[in-house]
Amino acid sequence: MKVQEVMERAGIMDTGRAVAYIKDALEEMNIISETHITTERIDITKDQRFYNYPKDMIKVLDIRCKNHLNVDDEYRSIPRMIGEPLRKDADGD
Amino acid sequence: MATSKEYAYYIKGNKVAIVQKDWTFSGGQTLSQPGLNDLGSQGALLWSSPIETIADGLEIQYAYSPTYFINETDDKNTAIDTYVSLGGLLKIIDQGDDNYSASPESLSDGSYIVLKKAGKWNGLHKVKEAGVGYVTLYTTFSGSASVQKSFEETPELYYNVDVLNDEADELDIPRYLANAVVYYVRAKYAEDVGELDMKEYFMREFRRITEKHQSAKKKGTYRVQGFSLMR
Repeated sequence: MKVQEVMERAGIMDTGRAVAYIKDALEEMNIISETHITTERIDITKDQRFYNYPKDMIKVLDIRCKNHLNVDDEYRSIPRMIGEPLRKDADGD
Repeated sequence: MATSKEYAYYIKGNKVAIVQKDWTFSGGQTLSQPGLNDLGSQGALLWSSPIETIADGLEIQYAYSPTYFINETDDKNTAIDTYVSLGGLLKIIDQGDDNYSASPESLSDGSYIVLKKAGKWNGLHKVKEAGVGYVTLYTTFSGSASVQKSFEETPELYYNVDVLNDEADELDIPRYLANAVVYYVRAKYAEDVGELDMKEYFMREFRRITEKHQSAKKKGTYRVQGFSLMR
């Protein structure tokens, strides 16, 4: 469906505002039901605890690490900690 | 052979914290034990920041918003290797000195690019300026102007991109979900004019269609895969 058809169905004439709301709708939609997914691989660096999420990320679906509980170079889902470990990161974050 | 590791994560602000169990599994019949200083309440001291560097060690699967469409996936440049801050904006640099303002990229002020395999810079960016060996983007970045930071992987720069910004653009979602978008837009317009009952009605329809589409993708009963300690 084109943007024009969305505008006609909604009965609106203002293109700029309609496009802004359509973008909001697509984001909201991806939080409820994923329409587009992708995977990003990041280097794990010794003694670096914090890693940035990709800029275009709307919702995390899975976090995996290489060789997590396996020796076959498989990427497996890692569990989420409840609370933080007692050992803090060296950079103080 | 690779060694087995044990990781976990937690969220802090807009970042993901990766921690690793600082403990080596013993091999053969040799049992290794933690030292006295390693023991804490419930073994909490065993968890620390990653104890070794692993290339491509972390994999994040995520959903993103389809506000752009890559026309030709072959139209990409993989020569970008570093980035700096230029007046608070992100400047991506190609040490090989490709000319990004000339064909085939032909980037100029107002063009759009999509970066992939670029870590935190993944996604759509608007170009401010392009030239020999660099592209300056409107994306804000607070960092050093002189020390170039390297991308962890070889980023892919897609330059044949159609951005959702005019009436002729096609929504890259199924037609059924596009009906939900219509309801969302109606809800927002109703909210703007203070028609809150209408807004709630349209938002309910938006969620109904979206969830219905999601549940329509499943068939049959669920089967749970348990871990070794789960019955």
